[in-house]
Order: sequence, then C-alpha cells, then structure tokens
Amino acid sequence: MTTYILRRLLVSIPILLGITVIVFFVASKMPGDAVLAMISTETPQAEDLIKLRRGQLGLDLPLYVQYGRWLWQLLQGNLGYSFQTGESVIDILLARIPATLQLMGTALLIAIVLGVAMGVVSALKQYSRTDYTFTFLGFAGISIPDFFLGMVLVYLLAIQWPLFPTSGISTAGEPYSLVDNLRHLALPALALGLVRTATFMRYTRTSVLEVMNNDYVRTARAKGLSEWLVVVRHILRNALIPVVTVIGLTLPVLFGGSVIIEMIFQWPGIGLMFIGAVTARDSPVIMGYVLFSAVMVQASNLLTDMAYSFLDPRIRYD
Amino acid sequence: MKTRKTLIAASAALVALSLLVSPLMASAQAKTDKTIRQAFRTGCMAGPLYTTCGNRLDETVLQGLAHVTWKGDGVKALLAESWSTPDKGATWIFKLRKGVKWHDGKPFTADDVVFSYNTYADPAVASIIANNLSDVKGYEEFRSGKASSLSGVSKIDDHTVKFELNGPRPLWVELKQIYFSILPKHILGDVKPSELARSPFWTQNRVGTGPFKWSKYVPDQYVEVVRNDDYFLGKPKADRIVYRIFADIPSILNALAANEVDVMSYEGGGIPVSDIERMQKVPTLTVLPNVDAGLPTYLQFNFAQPFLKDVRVRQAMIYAIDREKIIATVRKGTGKISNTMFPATWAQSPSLNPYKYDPVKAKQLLKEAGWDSSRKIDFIYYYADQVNKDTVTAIQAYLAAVGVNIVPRLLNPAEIQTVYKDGTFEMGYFANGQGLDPSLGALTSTCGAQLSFTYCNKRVDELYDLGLSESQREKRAPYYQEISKILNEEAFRGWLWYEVRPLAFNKRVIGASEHYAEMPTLIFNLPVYNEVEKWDVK
Repeated sequence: MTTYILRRLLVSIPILLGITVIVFFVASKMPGDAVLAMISTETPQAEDLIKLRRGQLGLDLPLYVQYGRWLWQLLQGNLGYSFQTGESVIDILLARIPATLQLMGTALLIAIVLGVAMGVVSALKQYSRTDYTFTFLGFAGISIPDFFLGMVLVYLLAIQWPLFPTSGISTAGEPYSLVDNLRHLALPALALGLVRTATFMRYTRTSVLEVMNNDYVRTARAKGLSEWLVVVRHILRNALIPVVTVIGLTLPVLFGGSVIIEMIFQWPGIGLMFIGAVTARDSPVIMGYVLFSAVMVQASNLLTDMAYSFLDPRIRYD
Repeated sequence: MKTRKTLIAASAALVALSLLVSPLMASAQAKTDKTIRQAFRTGCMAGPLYTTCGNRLDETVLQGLAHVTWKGDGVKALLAESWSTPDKGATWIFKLRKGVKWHDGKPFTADDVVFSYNTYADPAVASIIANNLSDVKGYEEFRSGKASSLSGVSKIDDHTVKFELNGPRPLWVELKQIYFSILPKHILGDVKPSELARSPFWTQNRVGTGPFKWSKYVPDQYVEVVRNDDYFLGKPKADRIVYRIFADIPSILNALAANEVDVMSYEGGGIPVSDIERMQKVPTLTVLPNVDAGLPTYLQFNFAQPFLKDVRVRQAMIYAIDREKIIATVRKGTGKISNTMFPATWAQSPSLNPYKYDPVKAKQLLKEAGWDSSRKIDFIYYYADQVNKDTVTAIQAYLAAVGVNIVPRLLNPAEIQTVYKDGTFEMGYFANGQGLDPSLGALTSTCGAQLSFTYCNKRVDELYDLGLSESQREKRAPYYQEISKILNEEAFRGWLWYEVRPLAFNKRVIGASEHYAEMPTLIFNLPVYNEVEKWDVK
C-alpha cells in the first residue's frame, strides 16, 4: 500500500508540472496584462508609466523566463506576490482556503446525507409514490445549474422572505460568531449541495437496487436478521462502494462549482479570489489557484482509490 | 457496528443542518454604535499609488493638501491651510495646517508632503497617477534617472512647502494637486521604493490624518475604519464606517435591498436601468435615478481609417441614429442627449448642432460622400451589460438602415488599452470620464493624444491651452465653448448621450444621498471631499 501511494505521489509531480506549464502559457495568451487591467479604462495613460510598471512586475521578460522565475520561486516554497496588491500568494491562498473548505465541506455533507438517505429510501420503496417524487426531484436537481439555484435561493430566502443574509461569510465589521457564520453559510451551501444531492441519490438508488437482489441479501433475510441489519450491514456496505467513487469524482466538480457560487454569494474563498485574479490578469495568483486545485484533484483521486480498498477488502494495491 | 455509528453521526449532522436553516436563528444583532456600511469594489486595496478606485478610502483615512469638493466647484483645504502664488501659478506656496497629528500620534509636517510627492513621482515606485505631476519642475529629470528627487517640491519650514512648476499653471491646485494623498514619512520613509507596493501599510495599518482611522481589513470581506476623535475639522458624527467589499453589482443591489449596506459605491457601475424600478419599491432606500456620471458616450471614429476622414460620413452616422428613442426604450429614460464633449453646461456653446434624427439627411450626406454600403466596419465595445449590448444592437440597426454596416466586437476590459495603443479597430462605442473639468478633454482630443486616434485640429489645441491660462470660470468659458462647437461641427465623435449612473442609499444614513444628489457629475479616479465627518446614522 505504502509503495503504491509513494508511486502515485511521484507520478503526480510531472502531472502537476505539466498543468502549470499549460496554464501559464495559455493564460499569458489572454488579451491584455496586469498593468493594462489595473489602469482605468476611462483615462489614457502615459506610455513610460506602463513600461515602468511592466518592468517592475517582470512582465517585459520572455515568457519562458517568467515561467522559470515562477518555478524557481516555487522550488523555494514561494508562490510569488500578487500583481494587484503585492501580498504574498501563499498568504492570499491561506487566508481564503478555510472559507472554501467550509463551503465545500458543508455542501458535500448536505449532498451525501440527503442523497444517500433519499437514494436508499427510493430503492427500498421502488415504484412507490415516494420513489417517483424523489426521482422527479432528482432529475430536476441534475438539470438545474447551481448558480441558478443560488440566485433563486437569494431571491426567495434573503430578499422576499428575509431569513438569511444575501451574501458574505459573516456580518461585516462584527466580531465572529458561529451562528452568524452559519446563517451566511446556509444559502450558498444549499445551492452547491442540493444539486449534487440529486447525483448521489440516483447513484445510491441504482446501486442499492442492484445489491438488493443478490443471494447473500436473501440469505441474510432467510436467517432471520432484522430488516435494519439487512439494510445497513448487507445492502448499504456493498451498495456504497460505487457511491464512494462518485463522491471522489465529485470533489473536483464541487471545486469548480464553488467558484461561481462564491461569486454569487461574495463568499471570500479562493474561487472569488480566482475570478478577481483572472479579471486583473494577476498571474501569480492565477498560478497559485491552479496549483492548489490541481493538488486537490490529485489528492481526491488518490483518497478515492484508498477508500475503495478500505470498503472492499477484495481490492488490494501492491 | 462501524456503519451504524456512521449512520448515527449522519443523522446528527442532519439535525444540525435543520437547526442551521431554522429561521429562529435569524437574530439580528442589536447595533449600539453608529455604523455606516458602504459598498466597496474588489481590486481597490492597493492604495492611492496603484489604484484609482480605492480613492473612497482616501476620503476617510489618507488625505491630500486639498480635495475637490462634491459640488465640483472648487477645492476644500484639508492638510493645507492656505496657498498662494506670487507669479500667476508658476510657484505655489502651501501653508500647512498646524497641530495635525497622524493617527499614530506623530506630528504631520512639511517633510511628509515632500516625501509623498517624491514617492508618487519616483520611477522606481511606478505609481499610476505619476503623470499628473508632469507640470512640476524636475519631473522629467527624475523620471529619466538624471535626478534622484523631484526638484520642484521643497520644504521652506516645518509648515510651508514650495512647489515650482514648468510655467504658469493657474489651475494646478484645482486640477492636478487634488490627485495626491499625503503619506506618512515616518512609516514609509524607510521602505525601498520598489517594495512599497508590498508594504503591509496598505492593508494592515494605513496610518493617515483623516476623520477615520484604519481599524481592520479582512481580505475580500471588508475594511473597517473607526472615528478619529482628534480630527482637525471636528469629531465625526458616525462611530465607524465598514466598507464591505463586493465583486459585482447584483450582490450590492441585493445587500442594499436587504438592508445590509447603506451607501453604494459608484465605481464599476450603478444600478442597471432594468433594476431601478425594483430598487425604488424598497421602502428603506432613497434612489437617485439620474446621477450624471460625467461620461459622454459616443461613437469613436478611428481617424486613421481613410473612409472615416470625410466629415459628411461621420455626421451622417449621428443623424442616422434616433438617440431619443434609444434613451426612452433601451435605456428606460436614463441619459441626457449630448452633442459635444463636455458635460458641464458652462463649457458648452449655446449654438451646437443638435443632430436631430433625420435618416433622409443621413442617406443624402452618405451619397454625397460616395459611401460604399458594402463595407463592413469593425466596431468595438467593452460594456458587457445587457443595456449597453442592446444599445449597440439598436445602433447597428439604425446605421444599417442608411447603409452603414457595422460588425460589433465585444472587448475584454484588459484588452482596451492594447486596442487604444495599437488603434486596431475602425469604430467603437466608448465612454470617457469628463466630470471634473473640461480641461480633461485635452487628454483625448488634442493632436497626438492617444484617444484622438490621429484627429488633429491646431485651433482646438490652442484653445485648450488658453482654457488653462485663466483661473476664473467666466474667463475660461469662451475657450471651451469654442472647442465644444468645433468638436460638434466636425463630428469628432458620434455624440450620443451623457450617461447616468443611478445610485441607491439607505435612509438610515444622513448625508450620503444628500451629498450625491448635489454632485453635478460623479468624479472618478480622485478623492472627493464629501464632508464624511458630518454624515450621521439615524
């Protein structure tokens, strides 16, 4: 197992490097640059000024030199400094990752708990009214984009019926309180989570249905086990294996989805930071985000594979 | 048993979640202090050296010698007590206010002023507003590395500073000095100029002299400033201002409607016209639907293109567009027809050609000019909101009706400066801030100016110079009126309208909406004296 993990980690290094190379060069093909994006569109600027600022940021160097500088800094554990604010990119990321993790974690929790519960109920009561209702909701959920659901939630639950704040992570200028934070978290987490719920529900339902008809389930019933134990110990444990894969594969999607949800809810995570950085052509910040998200995706893939072997003793990595 | 534990944990989480969404939790915190909650745009934190949109913070924390007032008709003495010029504006002597203290208790002196102007001008700092100092003696030498400081700014004594300019500039204080906020030398003096942008000063503790002191900055969330009891113009009425940072307009509108912010920011856009009605229905808000943005919106012609050199072609395009109808329909009645550059009425000639909608005349002019209607014109625009997109579509239809075919191309904001520089376009739908003073027009309509796109009229250049040779508005007016007439007749641009930027304010704050209602035009890229110390909270 350890060898396997080590091998996977080693393989991921060239993958990560490749990603950064591609993103760096593609991003540099975006029209405009950090200096042009920073100066006002409404007043013309002196040429010498643009030149000075470009030189200061190193934007006048050839691209491969710029990438080399970035990589060299990275090897020294430094992700560079934001073109916009001059803050260190590591500090910028560290200040924002907790917010994103909170949002993603809560959304994932909502999605797993609701999705698995609804999927199991739906399967156990196949072709009942509950099943049809859940199926309908499931398809609706898969079809609705999360940003749209987010806007509907804001309109209904923050403006029409003001139960929750419209945006932000906590009340600006007030000392932190958990209740306040959770109130701000509710709508974005629901918007991000509910859409995924539908996916989990569909997978759980299919998987449970498949497992339910296996011989060992019939045997378990025949030996007089209570229905609860049959469901939990024999059906669920086996039915959840494919669902775990789906959860693992959802992480990157969730990560991408949180960018747009963070924007709608002004959630101060790395997604909001990323959008700001792209608009400002702030390439050190863009690269920081890309590197972090690539690591996240790699890690979630690895964790999924490991969870697999934990849930299914037949699977062994050597 | 592991599985059961998981299930129990899961159901516990479910209970916690249902608690979380329970409306019982919606306990609004009672506010005992007077807090003004103002919306602030992202990307504006770098301080006055590197951002112009952060100037709202210069109104409360950092300050200049004198700021332009909200009415746009003069300046308010702040860190300077008074100033005088012995030689019609070639030399300026500033008497500084005595007894002013930085927020950390250190005294403010002439050294801070000299340090600040040197910092803005320093090529190693590369401040984006440095070019406003080009009138100061020694600027060129400093920029080109021949001098190590700005020789035109010198300290006479602790409370007197002398500015020497490259000739008489009677309006220098009103038009150029106002850009610069004074920075504390005792804090920033030791920072290497090239590393100034990275200084924690800007985000951790921006020590200034203004009515409010820096208290806290939470990235992407808010900046909090608290009352400065020792403020030299009197103790501010509000206890604190929380600038909440927003990345987009819809979120600001939602927050206004839900009573989460009080004051709108005008940088980056106001209320979209499609939302004005909705905002007007919110009982807690005062909506100002007709705030003049000081932005003439126009068809830009690239004069380097031979087919646009004929004045009849340019005039025909203005005649071809029913501007009143576009304003009434697409723009829901917001906007004021413009026929020249300057929004200020005192700078406009009374006899401008109104270019009333007349497609027949447009066709006739095009015919006279030998227009080839098979030509496809590359037409750029950069306002990506729906109203402006619809406006471009309407313009396209009106022009097509007289045989002028434009092909609209939406630019990304970061591309604009590149296109300006390269001139790689034929026509465009542009707007350009002219709110502060008609002299700003010189930046975009004199020979060789980037935004003139090779248009050149020596008389216009001459008139702009004359306009700056006087300091009295009555004496300056004739020069600008003549310019307005020339630019109108020559159809330097396809004049459309002066844009409005509708704004909304929560009624609980006294002072904000009142001040904005008195602004003749919004002033961009500058700190504005808005009497923030007198704003109050109900």
